[in-house]
Amino acid sequence: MDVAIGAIGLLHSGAAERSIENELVRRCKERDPEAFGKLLELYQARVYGFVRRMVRSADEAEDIAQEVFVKAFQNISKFDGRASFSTWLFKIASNLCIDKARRHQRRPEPVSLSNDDGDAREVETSDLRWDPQNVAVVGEMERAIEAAIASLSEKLRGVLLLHDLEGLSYDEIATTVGVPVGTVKSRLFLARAHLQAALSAYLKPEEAI
Amino acid sequence: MKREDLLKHIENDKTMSPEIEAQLDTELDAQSQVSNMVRSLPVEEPSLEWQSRVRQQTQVIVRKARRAALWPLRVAGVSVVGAAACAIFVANMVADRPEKISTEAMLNWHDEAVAASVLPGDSISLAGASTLPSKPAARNDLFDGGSLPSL
Repeated sequence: MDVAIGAIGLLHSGAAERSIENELVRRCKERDPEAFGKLLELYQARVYGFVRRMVRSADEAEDIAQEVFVKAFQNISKFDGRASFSTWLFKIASNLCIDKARRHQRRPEPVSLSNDDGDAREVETSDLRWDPQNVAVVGEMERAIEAAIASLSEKLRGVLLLHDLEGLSYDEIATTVGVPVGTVKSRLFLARAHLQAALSAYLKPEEAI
Repeated sequence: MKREDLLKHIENDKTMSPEIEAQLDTELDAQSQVSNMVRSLPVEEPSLEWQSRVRQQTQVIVRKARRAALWPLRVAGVSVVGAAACAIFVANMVADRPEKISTEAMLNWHDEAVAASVLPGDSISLAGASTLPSKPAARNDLFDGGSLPSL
């Protein structure tokens, strides 16, 4: 079981992951303390990584990530298995991050995405009040990517991270965020379009805006 | 539909036709470079202190859940013990209760007790008890307000 669990770290989805997940959840419902520990070990980095990029600071990220696992384990008996456990965890995380953002009263402001003709297209993408300089990354490009992601609104950032970073499918993201699949795709497209504009210096010409 | 038009369509939040969604899928596939850049970001590991703290909190949750699961058994156990204690107590009370005595036996017991209390030579006998005068003894006028005898 331990070797299989270790291998899951290299996978984001798949039947094997789902099977091990189900087994651990079943043992958690029987109040097996070891199973709780294994689930925590399995998902702590992914959940923390997602939350860290959704909120302002590492302290906030730790508090929220901790709350994610507390809520999940306290309510494990309510998990019905219709979605994967990871989807359920990210749903809790996403809701907590959005609640936090609302408490901070962050509001996205329209930012123009200019095309080559100079026509401005206003798209709800950025929260200019959040200073991306607070995000600690290594390397100039990584720093630029992190800053561009940080400047997105919560709606766009959440979908981008869940799909491109965490590897969730459109259906899983739709379940996590509570919107139709078409809306997931729209938000992902808008988020990537904004990143393309912000990272044009690092992109090959055919993909840069 | 041009990319800019697609953007405008999405911004205006119009309903998505299958054709629009198909075009959106094509555009999303074309954004693979930026998608790979996001995917290449390093994994953010939580601190060891956080890991330890959450592990401890997890164990607290598990212990509470186990206690909560045992609560009905504890209540049942206490109920059984309590019922057994009551049953033993009642059984002891019943055992200590004296036997039921008949009326005739009670009267005989009374007669014997009275007979035992009569002293030898006493003019009062059991047989003559019913002939005792019913009138009370004469009062002593010295004490009830009568006149004093002359000295």
